[in-house]
Amino acid sequence: MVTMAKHKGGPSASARRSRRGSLARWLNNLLLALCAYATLFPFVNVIATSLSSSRAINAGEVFMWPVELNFDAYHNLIRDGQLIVAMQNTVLITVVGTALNMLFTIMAAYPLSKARLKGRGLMLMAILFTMLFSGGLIPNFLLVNSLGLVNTYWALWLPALISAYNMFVMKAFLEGLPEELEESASIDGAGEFTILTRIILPLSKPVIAALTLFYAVGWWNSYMNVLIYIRSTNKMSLMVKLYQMIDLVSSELLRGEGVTQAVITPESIRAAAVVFAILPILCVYPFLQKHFIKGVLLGSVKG
Amino acid sequence: MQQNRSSNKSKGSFALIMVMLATLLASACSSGNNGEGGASAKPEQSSGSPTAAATQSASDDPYANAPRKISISTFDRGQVSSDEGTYEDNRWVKWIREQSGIDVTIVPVPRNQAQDSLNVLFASGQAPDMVWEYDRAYIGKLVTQGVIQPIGDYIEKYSTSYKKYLQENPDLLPHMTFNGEIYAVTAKRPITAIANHGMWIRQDWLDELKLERPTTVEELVEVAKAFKQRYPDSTPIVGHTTADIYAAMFGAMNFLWYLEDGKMQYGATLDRFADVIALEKQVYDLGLVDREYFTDNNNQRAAQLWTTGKAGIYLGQWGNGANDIMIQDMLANVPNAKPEPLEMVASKYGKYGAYQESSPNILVAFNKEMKNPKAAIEYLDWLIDKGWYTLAYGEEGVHYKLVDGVPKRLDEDKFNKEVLYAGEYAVVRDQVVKAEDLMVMAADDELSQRIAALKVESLKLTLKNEFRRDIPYQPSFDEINEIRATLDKFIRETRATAVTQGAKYTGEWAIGEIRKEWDRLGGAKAQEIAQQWYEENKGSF
Amino acid sequence: MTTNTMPTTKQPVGKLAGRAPGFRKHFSRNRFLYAMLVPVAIYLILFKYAPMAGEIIAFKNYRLSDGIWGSSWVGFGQFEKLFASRDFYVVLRNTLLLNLYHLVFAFPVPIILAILLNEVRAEWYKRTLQNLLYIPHFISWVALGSIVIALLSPSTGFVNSLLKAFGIEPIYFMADKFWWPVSFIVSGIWKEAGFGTILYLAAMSAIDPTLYEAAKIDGASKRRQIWHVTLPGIRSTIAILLILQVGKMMDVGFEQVYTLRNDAVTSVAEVISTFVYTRGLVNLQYSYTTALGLFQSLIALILIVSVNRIIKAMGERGLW
Repeated sequence: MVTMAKHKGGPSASARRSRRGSLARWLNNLLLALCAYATLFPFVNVIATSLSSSRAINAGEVFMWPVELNFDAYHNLIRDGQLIVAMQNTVLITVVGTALNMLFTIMAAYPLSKARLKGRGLMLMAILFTMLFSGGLIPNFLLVNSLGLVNTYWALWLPALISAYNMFVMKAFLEGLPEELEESASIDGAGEFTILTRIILPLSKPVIAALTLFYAVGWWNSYMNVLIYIRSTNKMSLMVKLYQMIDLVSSELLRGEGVTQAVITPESIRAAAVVFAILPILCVYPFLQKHFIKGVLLGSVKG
Repeated sequence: MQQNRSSNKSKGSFALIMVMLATLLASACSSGNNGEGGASAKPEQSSGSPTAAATQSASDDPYANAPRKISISTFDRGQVSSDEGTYEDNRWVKWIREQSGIDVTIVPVPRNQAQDSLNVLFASGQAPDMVWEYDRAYIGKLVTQGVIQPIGDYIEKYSTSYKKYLQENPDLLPHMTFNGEIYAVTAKRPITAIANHGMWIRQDWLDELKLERPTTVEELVEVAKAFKQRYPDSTPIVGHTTADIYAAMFGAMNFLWYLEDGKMQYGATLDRFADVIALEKQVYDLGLVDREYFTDNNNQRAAQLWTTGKAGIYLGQWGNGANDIMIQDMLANVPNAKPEPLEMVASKYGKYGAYQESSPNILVAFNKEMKNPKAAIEYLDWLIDKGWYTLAYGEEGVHYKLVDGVPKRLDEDKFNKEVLYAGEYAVVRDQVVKAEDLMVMAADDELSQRIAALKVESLKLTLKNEFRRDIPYQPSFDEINEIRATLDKFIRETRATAVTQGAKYTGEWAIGEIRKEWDRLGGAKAQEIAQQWYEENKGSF
Repeated sequence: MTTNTMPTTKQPVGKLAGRAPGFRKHFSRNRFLYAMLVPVAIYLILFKYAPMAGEIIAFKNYRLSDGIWGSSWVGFGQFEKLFASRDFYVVLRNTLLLNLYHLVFAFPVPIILAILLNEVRAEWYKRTLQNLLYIPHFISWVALGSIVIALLSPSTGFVNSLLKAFGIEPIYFMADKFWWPVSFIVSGIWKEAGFGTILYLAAMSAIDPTLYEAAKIDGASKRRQIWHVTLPGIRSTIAILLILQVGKMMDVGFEQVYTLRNDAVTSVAEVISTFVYTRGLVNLQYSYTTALGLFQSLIALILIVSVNRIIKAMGERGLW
């Protein structure tokens, strides 16, 4: 704990300190602004590319601003209607997937954060093991197939119910919560379930928000799994559709496919696809963000 | 304390046993359901296995009563719009069923993960009857994995049109053969997809400098130097297949086998290959090429330099759509430019043509578990006879009209929407495209005609010189494939070093390193095997 | 009700907690907790451990037609092949080195950024900054790769223009064996550091504000506050994330390497994932790649257990 030390210096010293403080804060803000600008640049470039003409893009004229502004790329992508369906699919996959994830992660992390629980060590080792070892594509497919889940979204949700990484993070967070809270609550007669839902979870909002974001982003971007497990075109996810549209056919493959038209996709459409993929997520996390602000400990035990 | 510890331990081992049991149980269940255990297990499809059929006498038709039903894979490229339907169900699938009289099921796999998708389908016993790929190596892998069957007999017994086609094009046979048996069916690419490498040059620059077209490698370098002198900001030589073009000039593609006095030698170990690297280094040192072509992954820089008029010579492909667009863009940026095809130049070893693809197109293999191979053969017969044309070009009068027997597209957009995706259903085609046809097939506006004329010229020039191929087709065996896995990368690395790291690393040095690596990887053995293969097969060349 | 069995100090795992007499009482007292773990256990066994049986193809010569159980055994044959290939050691070295650089240089950046962000007064500004900083995380390497290469281009790149302004010769970063790993790490930071602040910010928001109050009253400057309040407050988060990061040491993201590599730097750029990709294309060698995967996992396990032990010895709570 911070001991009561003598107040350092007099009033002028503290004034000097606060001037230095505001200078430091200014520098801090500036530095962060530069970082933000550096990270913003590629995105601005991608947006500009998606709104420019092919000719200008190939001539290397596009940097921060669209050249020969046109919305053709976006028209091209949306025209079919398939992209909208794909987006709906992805929203479904993401929402349900994330909800299942958070449910199971809490169900694992909460008991395992209790040091008193017997068998805890074994379970934790078991989970750690799954983080590092896996059977590979074929065994996993065979399992999902034998359960009859291929071409359903359950093939995506069930095998991925818990991310070991996220579970460990949550467990660590829960372990950091003071025990006195739980004790005083149970003294007041609260059952385990009430403790969990009324006390622990509200306090865990920051980490829950963070993990929700992680899981959601994971689902939104899922690609490989969808390709292998989902067969019907109308169940495809957004990422798969987008990548298909920009037809990521490398030049080696192109070379081999002389007869069939490989439609060459303009850079502008590729860029529009990238924007399309990111925008929805960018709209979501302002809502999650407010949980990252400084919180106040509810009903402090310290009286 | 003692008691607690042992109870803890026994609890731990109890749990462990439970986990192991459950694991074994679960995996036993999954293997049982999938018919996984061994070649004798069968998936849901029952009746009449091909092996049973073979044991009956040849005069019986074991498939007479089998339903004429087959399934075939296709690449899902996302090109089917929702109005048209899906890859499994659209106007063309219906048309195929009507016209061929066979109940065809299309099984799409996503293009980007095609091989993985097919592999899991095979592993779970769900692969379609016919599976195809452009990549011959993949078919070879399927042979090794034991999931496809030889089809020579089926062709012999049941095929009509395809058998005839094969008799007319016997040079396709080696591509279809693995371990002495035919495992795949294929057809030839049209010439436009085979001889599609070429060079382009800015004729307007040549005119301005009053230079003749270069005909030898040395002249090419001189012309490039002159370009550089006149236009210091330019990059005289750019391209996206530069390495292949240089290699073709010297008749030394690093991945092909050549004959030196009747002895098989691997391209990368030849003296000529040292010259290829030396040339690459020379143009780099003279500042005639883009210093950053190593990181030009999508060839964007090369395209940029060419289309903004900053390059004088382009080494690439002339045939595909990308090239058309590049020329269009260039003419939009630099209206006075005159890009024209350039004939391959002679090296001290002779005048060789540019690289040509091998002739087979799609390779179609038969799943070992296929129920009705006769129907499959009939489908292929129908395709190569009648079916492919409509699938490739569309309906007459709707998508194209015939001009001198050549299909001329009526509406590009309509074609792209309604017909483009159907092309790959035609896994075998009897498609012949002549150079002049390109003019007819192109749209009528001036620009398209001009580009078409350039393409015709390109094709003619490309065919004028023979691409050096000492043997008509390449041997494919495990040893060389293993070596290539490591060697190809090593060659690229060594070239990069030789070209960029200065005077100490010459072409000679590079070839020395490559030869050492070749030996280290067991190249001597591979050479023996290749030699043996040559001795066995040279009679049929 | 529970006071006599609830210890107030943290017991290390493995020893019995308290003096609970026998299993039954413990199970029934904690039945809620065990009930929560039942579905988790089912999930683990069914979807994680059952497929893990497939790892045995590392000891076989897997063929699609023979299936997992029918394929022939080769014992350690695949591993022998692996260790006999000279490439493998180069690839292993690159993987470990790149991850080591990442640990040393990239790991601290989100922490520093989070601290700086935490000090921002204006909420709106903080939120905007966060939004901006997160963006590169969502753009795939496929799209970012060409941007990075263009930025670092010796002729037209922004970075080299800056260098020229200072009179320094342009550097071909992407083709240089020394600069490539640097560019790799820096571009990785650029992409991920912003998003990586999330967990640290979450941890920081859980720090008791009264601690800051007390520090301020004691006259501590901003810097000392950070050192004495913020950092200790997120110490356990850092520890956990560090251990988890070490668990990833044997793995370098495929996409980033694939888009940024080129022929001139293969000897420093080829990592296990790209090695598997290119080799996998040549031979449908599921057994070979599984053997490699098994090797990777084993090393990762050893690393993670070791680091966990070290962290615990330093007084922090470990992963388990």
